[in-house]
Amino acid sequence: MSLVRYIVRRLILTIPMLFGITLVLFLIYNLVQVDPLVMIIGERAMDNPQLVEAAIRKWGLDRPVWEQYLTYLTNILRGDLGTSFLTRRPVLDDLRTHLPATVELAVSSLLFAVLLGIPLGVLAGVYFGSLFDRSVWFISLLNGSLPPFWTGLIFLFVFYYSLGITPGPGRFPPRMERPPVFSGLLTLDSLIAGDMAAFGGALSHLILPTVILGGFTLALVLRVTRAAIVEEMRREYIRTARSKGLAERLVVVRHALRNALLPLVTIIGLAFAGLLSGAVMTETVFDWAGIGQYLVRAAASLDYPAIQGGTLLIAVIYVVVNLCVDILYSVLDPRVRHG
Amino acid sequence: MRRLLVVLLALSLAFAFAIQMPAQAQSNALIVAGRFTDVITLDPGRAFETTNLIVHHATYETLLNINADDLSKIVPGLAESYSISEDGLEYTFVLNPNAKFASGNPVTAEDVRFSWTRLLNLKGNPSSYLTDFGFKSIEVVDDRTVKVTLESPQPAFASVVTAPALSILEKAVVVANGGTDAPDADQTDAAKDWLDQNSAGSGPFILKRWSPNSEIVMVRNENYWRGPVALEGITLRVTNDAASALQLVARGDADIALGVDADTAEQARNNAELKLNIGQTLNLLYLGISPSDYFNLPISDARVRQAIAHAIDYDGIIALTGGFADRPAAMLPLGIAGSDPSLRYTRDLEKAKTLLAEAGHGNGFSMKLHIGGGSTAGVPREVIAAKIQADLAEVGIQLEIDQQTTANFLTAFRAQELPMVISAWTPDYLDATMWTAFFSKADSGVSRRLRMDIPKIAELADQIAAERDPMVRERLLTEYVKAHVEAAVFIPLLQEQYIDVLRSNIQGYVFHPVYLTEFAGVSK
Amino acid sequence: MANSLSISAAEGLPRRTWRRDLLKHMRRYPSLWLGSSLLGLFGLLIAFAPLIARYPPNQQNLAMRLKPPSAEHLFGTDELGRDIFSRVLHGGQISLPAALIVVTISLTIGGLLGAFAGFFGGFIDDLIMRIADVTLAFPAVVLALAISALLGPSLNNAILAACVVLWPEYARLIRSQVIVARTFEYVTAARSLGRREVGILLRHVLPNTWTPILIKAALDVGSIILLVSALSFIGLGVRPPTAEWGSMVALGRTKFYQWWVATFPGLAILVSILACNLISEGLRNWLDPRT
Repeated sequence: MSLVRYIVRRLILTIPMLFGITLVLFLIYNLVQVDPLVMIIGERAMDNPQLVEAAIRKWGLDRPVWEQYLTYLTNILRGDLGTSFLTRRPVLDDLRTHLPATVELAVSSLLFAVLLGIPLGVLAGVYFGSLFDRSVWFISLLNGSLPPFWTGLIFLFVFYYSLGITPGPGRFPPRMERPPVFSGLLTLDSLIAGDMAAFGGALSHLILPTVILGGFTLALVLRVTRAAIVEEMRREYIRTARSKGLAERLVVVRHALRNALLPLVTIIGLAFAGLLSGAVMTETVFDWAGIGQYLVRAAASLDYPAIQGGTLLIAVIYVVVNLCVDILYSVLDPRVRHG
Repeated sequence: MRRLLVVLLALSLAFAFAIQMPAQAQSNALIVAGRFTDVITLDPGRAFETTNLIVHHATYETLLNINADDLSKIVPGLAESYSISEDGLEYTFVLNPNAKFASGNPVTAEDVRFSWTRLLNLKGNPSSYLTDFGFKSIEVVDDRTVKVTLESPQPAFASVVTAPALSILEKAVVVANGGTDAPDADQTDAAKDWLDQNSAGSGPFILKRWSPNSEIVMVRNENYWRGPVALEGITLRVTNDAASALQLVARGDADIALGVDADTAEQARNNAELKLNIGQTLNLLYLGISPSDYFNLPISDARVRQAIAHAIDYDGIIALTGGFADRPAAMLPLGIAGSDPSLRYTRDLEKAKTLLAEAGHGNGFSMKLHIGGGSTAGVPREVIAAKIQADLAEVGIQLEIDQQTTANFLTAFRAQELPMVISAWTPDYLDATMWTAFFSKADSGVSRRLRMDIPKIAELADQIAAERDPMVRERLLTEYVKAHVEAAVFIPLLQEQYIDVLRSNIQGYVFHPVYLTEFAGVSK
Repeated sequence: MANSLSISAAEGLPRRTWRRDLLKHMRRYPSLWLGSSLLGLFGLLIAFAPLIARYPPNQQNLAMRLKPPSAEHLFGTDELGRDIFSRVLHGGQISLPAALIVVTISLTIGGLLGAFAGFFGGFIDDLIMRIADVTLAFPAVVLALAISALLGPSLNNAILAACVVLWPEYARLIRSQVIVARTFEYVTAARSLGRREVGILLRHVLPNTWTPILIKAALDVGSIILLVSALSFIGLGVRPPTAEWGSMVALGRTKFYQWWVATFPGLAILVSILACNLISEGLRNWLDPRT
């Protein structure tokens, strides 16, 4: 199968998937028998029958279920995710304002995990069984066992409040002027504005949440790299390469690492799900105004359109990332196209 | 392999270098940390939450004011004087000739007419400030004079005028940004998006930016008609909880933490860089017990409700707030004329047991106690509920706590399905009707939700709403409190005190029970 | 000891005792044994919590509120003066069984569906796996959050939400295992002997798939402990006053000056997840040495 045909087939397979996602969301939504009206118009206004009736009509709450689903689907296709009960603004607008914060945190966590995880994994793999290997292994295991919402609290207390060596909660130093909004990513916007102080400020606020969110992914990257290196090192050709007199370092870098990168690509998709899940638990602790925090707030106040829209967005991002990973993988390893 | 280690080390060094704490530009702006997550809009004609009161009080002005130092006195604002006609139906306001908007233009009678007509025609939640008081019409008499006509005499109207929702907006600016006061303004007014990010008022500050769930930035109004204030600006910084707000203040990243809980405030006491500001609010936390037969529970007997009121360990509850709370006798807070604390219940387990025995429930009974989320005076609902549960268990009443999200809880409460609840009440304006109108009638307000139908209380509430003589009104209110104590349907548990933590260099900060803060006099 | 050694040496065969095997096994797979003993010890403490803890988990004592750890209160007290040590132990009676229940249910449902899908293929396979794919298209915590928010906060709904997000993972895993096992010779042999398909599946194919499942199940018990406590932390799980680790951390979050309130329940989460991860890791080394 050619690469193009594989990609096309993979894209087509994604469509029923997206359809299924909307159906799942709609079904969960309709299992619930709670009156969302009070969230729409507020507690006291519920005593005013005119306001109540106007709201019911406006939100289509008097329509049959199937009609609501059809409306829901059509609206999604038109890019309309409804209006948040809580913020009274289009959910899409809300998501747009909250997404950059999450993207910034997720990317920085992924970078942290990859930049630290691969070298550590390689070292651990090469010195398989050594004390270094064992300590790295244990630390990664510990890392994978930390509840992020708890670690966040502890880190803030120790590193911010008690020691004062890292910035506190939030995305930006409170007394500093924010860069003009361009991408919504504060680091990128500061660079675009050429404001290095703002860049440093934005970056410094990324430290704690990145270490906590990236810690999970780090453990994953480290484990896969290490396992792949150990596997590759055992293989015949490495022995061959070694016998040819190449320096051991080159053996590792040239052969083992290149082959180890392949499984790494596949786990990026998995890692991304972990990052999005982790964002839900981390952002709340760090006052990080991203999708995770938005979802948690929406969940606490039964803001259906926001819960639906936020979950839909995350699912779509996840599906798209996985699609890209699959395609990338098929480029790197033509065998999968025939599988 | 060594090279790999070197690269690794270099990378981490580079990272450490990149994240060096940046030198912070010191400005004279005030950073206020708090849970400002409730903001839906900053359009004064549409907003009906809490944080918007802070913003609107800083960026807009009302015709009349009530100052924090004397809540019973209505003082001039944009209006230098006002008069009420003999029949109590017409209110005439005369504007201060010096009053100017931030744009430099004078505040005119037409701006007042426009702002209030727009509020009315937007038909949003805050329009009830006018409709609930039989607002009939508003007319411009001359450039400086407006006349408001009501359907019936409403002694509370002057205090309603102090509500930030009745702020005066500059007509020209609002219209230029899509605003209208036409009868179909609820469909055609398009100024919300602009007013969410800007202000069109005459207050000491100007709204510069609102980033939802993140911050609200205001800067000084250099044209302020009473003269520019000391602060360069105010930034409201959203934090998730009191603890992280206090962290920010303690580390100097913020100047004020609004509304922290007592246990957190206790820590600030030992810090020389911080000081506390205690403000008496009018916010009540209450236990509501339905007197209705509908639920088929022992609590329909007044003696059982009185027994519950006698079984509660009120001092213990106040201790939960660290002592930062008080308690009125009924749903009329301390500080409002007529609220007499000597009438309130005290803990008396023997009396509670006797009352239960008289009602035929000497062996106790069990039922559910329903709560939502949130907290009052820093004490989460579930903690208060657990306390009440333990207290009532001592007289044999077994409570099962049912906690739902606030939305679910309110839905069921509103549907009149909950026999026993813990909930809170916060005023929007300062008049006794803010309580008597909502906790008295069988067919409206919170009393309706608990299926309370007690004619004596309802009649008193009607008399209070119509009475114009303050002395008679105060006597009626004391009667009202007595009737409520006897009925024991709403049992106040706490009247919250608001604890703000300030850095010690902050001067002139005043707490206000409705607007929460007075920033105009603050300096640092 | 020396005596017996010399005897076996004299016989030319080291005498194999179960005790020595066990010791050897423990030395070779320390993480398995460390994890198991950690979890075992924890499990015992939790199971006998009412006997060990000096105070009932919900007993309030306002005179003793927010007291730091002491001999009287090992982990200190919370804002109602409740004993945190007791609450942490009793909290385990929620988290650990809940996680085991979720993994068992997901394993059973997901396992059966996956096995049928893999064994029979065709339409059943497509239907089951498409449903699984759609469910797996959501990051676990996000879907669980949406489900438990919409169904209302309670332990049962949190368990339900966790099952919904977990079953497809087992369906997928077992399906792939079954597809591999199906081609094994003894299965073909059984089929040629005229055995019924379902019988073959249950008797010959499934028993050969348990290694990766066991490894994953151990890991998942940890993940579900995290998931349930995260939901409770957000306010969507267990309802008060029931002691649960996540909601205890949430209460302690506003009391970080009284560090012990949030620290100990958090540590309990950490230790139990760590134990599960160690067990999973150990099982992997023992049963599946290739990886």
